[in-house]
Amino acid sequence: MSPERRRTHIWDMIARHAFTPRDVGERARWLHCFSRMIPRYLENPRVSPPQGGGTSFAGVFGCQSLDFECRYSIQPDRADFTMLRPSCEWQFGIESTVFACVPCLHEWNEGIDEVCEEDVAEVLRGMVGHPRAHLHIHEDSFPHEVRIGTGLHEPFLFLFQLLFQLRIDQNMRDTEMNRLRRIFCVDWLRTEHDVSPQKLFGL
Amino acid sequence: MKRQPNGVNLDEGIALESREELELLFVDARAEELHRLVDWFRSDEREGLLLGGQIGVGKSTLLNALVVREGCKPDVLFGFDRETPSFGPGGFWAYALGRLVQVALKQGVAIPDGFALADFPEAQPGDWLGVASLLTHLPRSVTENDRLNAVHSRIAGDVEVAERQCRAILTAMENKAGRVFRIFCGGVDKFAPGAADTQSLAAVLNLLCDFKTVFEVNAVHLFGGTSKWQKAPRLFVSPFEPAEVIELLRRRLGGYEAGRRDVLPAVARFSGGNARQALRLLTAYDYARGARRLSVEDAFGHACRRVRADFLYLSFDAVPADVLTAVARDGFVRAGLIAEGGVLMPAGKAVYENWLILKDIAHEGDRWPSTLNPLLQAAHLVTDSLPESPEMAAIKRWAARHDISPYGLDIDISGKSPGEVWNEINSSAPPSGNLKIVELLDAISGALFSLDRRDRVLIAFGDSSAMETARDYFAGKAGEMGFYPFIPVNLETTPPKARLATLLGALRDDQGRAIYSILLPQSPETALLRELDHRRDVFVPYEMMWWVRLEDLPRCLQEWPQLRQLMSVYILEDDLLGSLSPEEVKADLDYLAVLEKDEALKEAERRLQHTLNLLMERRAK
Repeated sequence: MSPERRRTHIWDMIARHAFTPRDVGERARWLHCFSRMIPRYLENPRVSPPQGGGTSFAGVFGCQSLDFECRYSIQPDRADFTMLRPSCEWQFGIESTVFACVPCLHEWNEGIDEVCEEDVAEVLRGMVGHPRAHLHIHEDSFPHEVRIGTGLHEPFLFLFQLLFQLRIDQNMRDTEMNRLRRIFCVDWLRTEHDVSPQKLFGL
Repeated sequence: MKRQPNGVNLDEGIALESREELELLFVDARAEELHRLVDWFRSDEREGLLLGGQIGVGKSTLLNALVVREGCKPDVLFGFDRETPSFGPGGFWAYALGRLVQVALKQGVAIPDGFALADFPEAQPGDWLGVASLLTHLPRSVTENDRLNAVHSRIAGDVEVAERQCRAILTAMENKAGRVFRIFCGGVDKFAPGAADTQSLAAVLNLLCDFKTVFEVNAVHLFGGTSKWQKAPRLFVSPFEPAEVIELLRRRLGGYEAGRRDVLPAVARFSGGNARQALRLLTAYDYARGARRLSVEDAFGHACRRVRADFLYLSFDAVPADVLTAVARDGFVRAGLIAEGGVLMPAGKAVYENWLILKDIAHEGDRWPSTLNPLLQAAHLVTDSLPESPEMAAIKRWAARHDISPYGLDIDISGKSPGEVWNEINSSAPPSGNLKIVELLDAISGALFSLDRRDRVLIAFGDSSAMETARDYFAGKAGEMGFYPFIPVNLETTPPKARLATLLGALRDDQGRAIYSILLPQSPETALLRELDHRRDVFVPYEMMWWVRLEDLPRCLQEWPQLRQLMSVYILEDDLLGSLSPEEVKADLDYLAVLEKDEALKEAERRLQHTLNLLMERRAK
């Protein structure tokens, strides 16, 4: 199996087992853990914890030192992320009726023996560390290191990578990336079980 | 209940009610029964119908499908289990009268002679609606309860008048409408044959069976009934076929079905065709695989033990070992052994408790095809014919390792006293493991702190201070997740006679954000436990934590054949400091410190701070 194909599988597995909570209860827990991680990870954080109403959730988080805020709303069939800077406002939307269907991973049995740590590192880099599709905010006061992932269709993954990106300190980023590599290690890929939000966020 | 159109919809097996729920989750496997119900409804013949099935088989859902999907709306709907304020002759007649007065007033029918407004204390002149409301709602306070009791005593002293008046109202409404009225009687299944409450209710049911009424009953009510209402034609709701159970579970899993697909045949097999048992098994399995990361083998064992724990709680003299052995050998049970003269026989108790599963109506003479509940059989017998797959192989390994059922088919019970049988059962399988506070929180939070679910957990505790700390901690965590208020109901400090009214009066949350924490008294009265059991469905809309002393747990579960179906049971470990560290609570408080706080978060902070103080005090000792 080619590295590209292997990494596609790994991407799917991580997205599926860590970033697609299945029901409202799991979504609430995921967002709760996300919210708890914010003050631990960001400097000068802003947090308004997720508020749920039936099957929908909304919350706010941001970083005061970057003057950046994200207001999110996640519903069963759409998700909206409004990102605010003093100078401008963007909206990123994901529309789908199936956020979280389970893809069939054919031929994975062949590929699993070939998986190496580099595969995982590359996937995490493209997913979180340096999102493979991203946008920059071109303002003098805003750091170029912040890459906002745009090619993501999992709302929870979008939130996760955005939080990662809002911390500029490279050491902190490296530590976080190493932690993720330990979670999504080769052994994990072999056993393939869900990653709880507590574990994902190191709580 | 709100449902996820694309996600997982697991619960404890609550009846489907709304159109949305039925469209998403209803399995149309009982077309014949539904067709017969529709035919009965559309016919103008004044004939009753007993709709009977075992606990959890899907009777209520079937009735809801009749109303919502088929558009067969009843003219009068009784919910004797949910709505009757008190279970005595006066209570049942008062409720029936109140409900009929409500319908009559809507139809513009004058209330015929009988009880008059003057008979109801504090009734306003001309306010029949107010009186009807009083008679058909659960008391909201002790004062209201006392007022109702006075009314019930007055009516109990003159039931002939109540009966005559109810009959006259129904007749007047039919005359005005120019057609036969359709009456639905829900919740009769919660009243076991022979019990005192059932006898009180029978008089009202006997009146209603003179009209066109469908009675929702347990399967045991279909046997050996002596009351007039039990002579009505019968419609038996049989268990699902395995393929139908699999379809039901697939719908519950939605887009995530692939991840659990391979285990569904085993769940179906161990469910015995009982929809609620299947859902409870899958929910427990899903938790064990997803949250606890157990292997397929261990997760399935966990699920079976967890659901099977329901069946452990029988008083030792109630283990119908000879009946179980005979059914396992013969594959049928004789109708005469289920109920006789309106009283449940040992085999009937086994059916009522779901130890035995009645297969279908195709019986030969008095022989009803039946089987022992698969969770009570030697596991390898259930897994023998499962399809081949890695998951099934894992489950078969589990079955082989647990070859002997704790219940007796493989135990030689001849010559043993009921006490010895009970001891053998009790010692062979602990019902549930003890959990530390944090583990317990993890186990219950998925259900309790979820907006689209209304769940109930029963937590047994040995040490009161551990219970109080756990309660504060859970309240704090609930507030942190946005669930507020956390409403304590302490039945221990409430006078015995006011306990039920106090509990019912506290249930006012209609937003689904409150969590009730109910502390049962030490050695709770049997009457209270039974009344709670009958009222099971009153508790369905609420998130609840019930706390009970460990020594009272077996009695509670023995008295709750109905209510325990809707509860997950846990045991809280006593060791407080080994269970929850001050550092963990401090981390919660640190997080709350950075938030702008609404009422829920303020309450969470107070509760967690209190928890922290308790833990620090304990550590200092």
